[in-house]
Amino acid sequence: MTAERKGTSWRRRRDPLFRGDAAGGPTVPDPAADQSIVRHILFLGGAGRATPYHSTSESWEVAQRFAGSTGRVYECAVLDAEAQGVRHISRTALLGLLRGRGHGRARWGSALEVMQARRYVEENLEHLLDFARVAPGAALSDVLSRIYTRSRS
Amino acid sequence: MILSSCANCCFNPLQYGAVGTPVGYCTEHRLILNTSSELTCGRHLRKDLMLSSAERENQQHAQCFSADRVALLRTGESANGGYVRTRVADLDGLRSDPVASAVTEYGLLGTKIESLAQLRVIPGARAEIAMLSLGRSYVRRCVQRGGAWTSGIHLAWWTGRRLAEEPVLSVDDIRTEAPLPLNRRIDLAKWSIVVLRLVFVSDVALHARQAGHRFGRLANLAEEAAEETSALSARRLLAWASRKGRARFDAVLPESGYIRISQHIREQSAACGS
Repeated sequence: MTAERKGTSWRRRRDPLFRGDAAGGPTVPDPAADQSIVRHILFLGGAGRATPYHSTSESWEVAQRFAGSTGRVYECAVLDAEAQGVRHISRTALLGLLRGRGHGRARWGSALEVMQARRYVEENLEHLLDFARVAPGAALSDVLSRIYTRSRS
Repeated sequence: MILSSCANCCFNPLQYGAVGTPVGYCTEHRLILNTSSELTCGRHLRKDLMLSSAERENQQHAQCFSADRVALLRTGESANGGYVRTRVADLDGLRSDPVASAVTEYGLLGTKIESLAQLRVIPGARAEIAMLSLGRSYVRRCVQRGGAWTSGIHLAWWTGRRLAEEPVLSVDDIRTEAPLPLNRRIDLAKWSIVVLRLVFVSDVALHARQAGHRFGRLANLAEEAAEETSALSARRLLAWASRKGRARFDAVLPESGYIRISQHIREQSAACGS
């Protein structure tokens, strides 16, 4: 299920990303919400907080942990997501941004919180899907249904 | 989502990240948490954040979840018997583990500080996580109720003494599956435990700063450690703690200062008791 378990490293053109979410469907992101990457990864802002990102993982097992007993694992191909205007921020890119007090949209006031976010990215083999640039007016639920399928793994 | 669950709450001292027992235990609701990563309540206090951030998140969380019952994080529904347990037989199973035994009896048989002292002498990282997790909530609550920052002085002193000691973590202490190599998982777990020490000292120091004591100079100790160590490595963080962390701690709380504060607390207790 994980590229690493197959003895290879994850590749964007070949391997899917997995997301654990509610059984009824992936949470609808908010393209206009706060774009801070650290805020998103640390899940700051409370339950139901708006975010333009979806966290995904190279690992089905990690996604299953996030799905829990009541949720479901979904999978998507990066190229399909990009075709819908969704930007892919890879794990490698995230690890590069999450240094010191962070860089770019990962810039943050606390170096400790940046490091914690970096730990979670590494532990969860996390990638982000960024919906901030999805065309205004596009029906996000339609976009989600085009890029995600239920995972059978 | 898991970060706002019981798995990452100070009141569940049996689990922290990848480390801990297969089930958690809530010292507030006195429940075994079978699926801690799916549960929460309005008292949730995050382990992985400094006190000011954890407080802010706690306030937002309390607007969504009741403090009086454990609920499913995803739906807000009350957690039933499949998710939590209170039966004596289940507790007995948990109590076969010395750390879990101390945690389930936290504040029941003696004072809470006695329970924390008991955890301090149990060897291993899981006991340390339990002491630090409960210690954070203990000091916070003491201060909220009008107590002094010195309610955390013994815990801070014990933590300061072991600031640069490598956490004692065995393979059996890892509770979750993960796609990372085991040695890297253990390294990240050790890093997070040293961070928990630093965050605890910072918590107590924040209260001391508000009281005007020089121990308050350590209120940003964890933040300083993160800024001054660039790599996510237990070895580097421990080296920092040995080289700089301990020196900063000793500068504001030398042994003589600790003894003086301890004597003052003892005299006050004796006066209250007479």
